[in-house]
Amino acid sequence: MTKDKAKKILIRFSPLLTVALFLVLWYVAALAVNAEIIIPKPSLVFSDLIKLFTKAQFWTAIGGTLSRTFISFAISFGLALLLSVAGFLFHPLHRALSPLVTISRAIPTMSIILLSIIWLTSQTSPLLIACLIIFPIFYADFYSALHNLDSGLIDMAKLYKVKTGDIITRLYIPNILPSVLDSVRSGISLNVKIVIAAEVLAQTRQSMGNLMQVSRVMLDTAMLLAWTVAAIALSYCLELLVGLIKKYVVRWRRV
Amino acid sequence: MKDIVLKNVKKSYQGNTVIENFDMMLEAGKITCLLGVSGVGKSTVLNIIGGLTTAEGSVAGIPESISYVFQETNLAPNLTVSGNLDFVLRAKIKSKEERGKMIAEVLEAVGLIEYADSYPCQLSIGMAQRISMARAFAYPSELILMDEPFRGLDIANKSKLIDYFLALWQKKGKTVLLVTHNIDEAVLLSDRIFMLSGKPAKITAQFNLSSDKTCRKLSDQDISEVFAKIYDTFAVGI
Repeated sequence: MTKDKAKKILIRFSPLLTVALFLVLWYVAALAVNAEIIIPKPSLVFSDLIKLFTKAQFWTAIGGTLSRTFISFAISFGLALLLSVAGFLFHPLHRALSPLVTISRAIPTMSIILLSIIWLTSQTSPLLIACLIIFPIFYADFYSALHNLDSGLIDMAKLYKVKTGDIITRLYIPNILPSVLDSVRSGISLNVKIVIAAEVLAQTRQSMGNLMQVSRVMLDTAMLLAWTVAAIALSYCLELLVGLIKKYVVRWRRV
Repeated sequence: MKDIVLKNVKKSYQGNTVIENFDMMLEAGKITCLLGVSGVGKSTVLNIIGGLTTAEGSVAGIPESISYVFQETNLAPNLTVSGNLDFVLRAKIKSKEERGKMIAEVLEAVGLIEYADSYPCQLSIGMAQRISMARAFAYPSELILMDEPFRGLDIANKSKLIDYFLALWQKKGKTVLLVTHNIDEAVLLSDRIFMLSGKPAKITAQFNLSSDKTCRKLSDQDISEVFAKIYDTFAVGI
């Protein structure tokens, strides 16, 4: 085997090696601690996870968390897109929005969670929390994607008197799409995390967060970790989905 | 096609006069060159003719449709070569078939027909500039404004681009304004050269060249004489 080929194989399988190493360390730590309540063995966690798959409650909780993730994502995405385009076209609006965006970014997540639990119901507070945290990230990313678009291209289109519709559909949208999808890719897993955190504190019914909280109260660490693995898998699947969409939509970047 | 005439044009930016008492005529169907050092105000003249900025004085004969060849190629990275050409033609030519024919014709003329489905990132700088030039000639216009189109190209690519440019110009017969600081380009390509210098800038000299542009060489006697005169004028100006 050549040196180059070995390097390629190493690069390809290095993420799997990291996971394997992590599992080994986890197993060693579980053996060293020898207390399932603190660190259960990976085998126990995965058997609990398999048990979860067979329960209707698991799928209802996944469905509930996913629907809250999608709703909050859609609201944040739609609002950020609308306002970033409006702010790009009308700069005073962008200036007016900037303090709100800065405050939303700076406000401690826990303050938002606690306040929204006071103000809203346990079902709706995860939506508001996720929106308040995700929206400013999307807004800033979308605005800079619009702002950073090569002005020479836009000037060229205007000089050649290209129709506004064509400028939007053939220049703006395809050229900002890679940045937008990059932002969506990292935003979607953050969205899952925030929704679950909010569900834990708001004790939202039919949610992954609530069942994690139940596991904690029952001191069932293996089950808590099983839910954590499920949450990681969920985020990974969503990121993968966005990645596939990006791969298809921005084919021209790969030539 | 009409001559384009600029008379007594003046342009100021924030109280700073860039050009003044500026007179120039672009003869219809000919290549006119505006030659001057960087920053003298050549692009300002280009912007006035292109309607990108307003100016005092008289500007007559500007056609409705104008093509451009920029320093940067300004090709959309998400569109293929033919897609880039189609992008500017769509508003002017409704028939897709007709657009396709025009695109094929100009791509053939610049020797890049086999790259019709390639993306700009797959082209060299020289090839991308040829596409930019093909776009300008494919666009239904009477005037082409060229802003330092050969800048950044090596000698081989520049010479190739000049050949393709002249072939397209002979075929399409458009009025061309070439803006450059390069004396070689000016003497090899132009029917008339206007020299822009001073502060505020104005036309300080003009030269007519009547020999066949397709077979001009820098070593030709008339060309080398004009070259030397321009060079001397530049040297005095500096």
